[in-house]
Amino acid sequence: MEDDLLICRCEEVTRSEVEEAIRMGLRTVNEIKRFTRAGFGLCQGKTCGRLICDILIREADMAPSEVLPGTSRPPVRPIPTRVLANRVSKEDE
Amino acid sequence: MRVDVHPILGNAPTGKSIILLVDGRPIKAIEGEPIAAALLASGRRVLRHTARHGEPRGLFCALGRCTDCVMTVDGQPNVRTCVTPARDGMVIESQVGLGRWKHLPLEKEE
Amino acid sequence: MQTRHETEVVVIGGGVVGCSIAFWLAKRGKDVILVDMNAPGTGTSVACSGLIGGTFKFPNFYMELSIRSAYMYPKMVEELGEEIGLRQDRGFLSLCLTEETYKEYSSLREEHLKSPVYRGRMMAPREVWEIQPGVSREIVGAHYNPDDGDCEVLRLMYVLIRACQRVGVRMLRDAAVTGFALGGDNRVEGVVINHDYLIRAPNAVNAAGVWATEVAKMVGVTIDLYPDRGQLLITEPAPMICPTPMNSLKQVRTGHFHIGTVHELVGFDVSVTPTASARMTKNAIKSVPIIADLAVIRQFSGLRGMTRDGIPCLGAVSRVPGYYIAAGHSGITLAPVHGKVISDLIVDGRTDLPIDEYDPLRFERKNGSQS
Repeated sequence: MEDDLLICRCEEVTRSEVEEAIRMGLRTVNEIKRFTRAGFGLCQGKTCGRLICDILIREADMAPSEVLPGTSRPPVRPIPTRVLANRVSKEDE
Repeated sequence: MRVDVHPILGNAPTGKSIILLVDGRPIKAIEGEPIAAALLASGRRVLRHTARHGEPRGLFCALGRCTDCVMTVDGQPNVRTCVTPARDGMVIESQVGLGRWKHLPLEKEE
Repeated sequence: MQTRHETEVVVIGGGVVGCSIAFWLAKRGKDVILVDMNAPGTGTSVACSGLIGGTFKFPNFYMELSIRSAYMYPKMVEELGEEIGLRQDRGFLSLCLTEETYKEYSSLREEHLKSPVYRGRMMAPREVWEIQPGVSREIVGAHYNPDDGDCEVLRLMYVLIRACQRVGVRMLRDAAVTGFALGGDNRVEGVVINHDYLIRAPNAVNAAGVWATEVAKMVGVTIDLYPDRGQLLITEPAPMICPTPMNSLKQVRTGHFHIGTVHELVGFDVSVTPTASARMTKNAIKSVPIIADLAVIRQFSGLRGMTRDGIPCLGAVSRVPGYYIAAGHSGITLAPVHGKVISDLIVDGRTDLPIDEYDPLRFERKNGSQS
């Protein structure tokens, strides 16, 4: 497969960069995210997360059940800071 | 190009004809349709250029997930054009990298 | 119990502190195994904002050690051989949004002035805007410290991991320390991993960060490091308008803003809360108004390892020969010092750096008890 294949479209991370992370000994989607930045973009890994799981299974010789998806962080979609700031929580009232 | 009659969805909904200003040039659009749809209909496929390698990007997932189609809309970068409805007079700019932010203070401001 | 590995030093914890220690030990000729209960680079070190400095760290000797550590960073980066996004040429701003904050920072400054090392000063708004165009026109002023700065923590973390691998540190993942093998005179003889096997070694370094309390308890030492949860928001990237790092708010090289800060005592719970995001975004918008237009793309949390006296643990545990502790907030700032001190102690048996105040056994003395 092509080395310059895009895995994370937002941060422009390629397959060879993900494989480098695996060669370094990284074995979870979260670690690969922190090392390559794949999943750090605007979409927060919605496309690349599964591709990285797949690369881990094949390149790191892991069982599919051992490969956990990356942590999903709020907010699910980008939310303007002003919207979050205007939220009044019960604890504040 | 537009699909006016779709084999499953039927006839395309009609709406008020509006004008969008895209990189300084006016294009026709239908009010309420996604910005990206209007751009495709006007023959435009490249919506932005990426930050790291400067590569062109267009519509990818087309349902608001992937953020590949983001453009600067009315001075606000990173707007997903595939899920943002078109309104008359919108100013749309193709985004290069992080885009240019309206009202952003300049490095040497007084 | 089966012995699976033999080595000279076991470093417990693969954060920035543990990796720095492992790197310097290996560099100075020691055979080192680093163990982490998850994997290196998965805890507090990768969930913080990477500030390096001594501003408002008290007592003054702690501020002095922090600045000393900051000054050791460029040399360490040279040894590591890769960039970590070190920013030490712009100083560090603590914004004052109200008169009260200005007064508070001024009086903290008075206290710092008793130290000859400290070079911070109060700054008028106009000067702040000059070095930080994005800052609000409403500020009262700021505290500025030319000796403080920051780095990109993820880069630092992985540059350290790679450097450790290069100098021959063996790194074990999913390796939780569950006990110690101690000799007759209470001397360290080995470390038990996962209740399963032994790594035989005459030295063990507890660099387990917020989890260090547990690892200390295993040799009967009470250090009382407790988790203090912080949360961070990351915004979408924008062109650089805040090139100077600030407290609770910084813009990184890639353009994203990191927005903090909260202190929450909720045990080891690492969930995130809307209450915190509301409070943090409100403050951030007051400091840098343009942030209101930026979207938040990610919220996460991390656990600081705090002590009751506010300063970390660093040094040998005299009661357990071969046992060392280097843990506690703030690991990023002190990573070079931790690396030097622990490698000094293990290789030379002594260190030049003033570490008496950081004695891990001080908590037991204060309690008046010996366990």
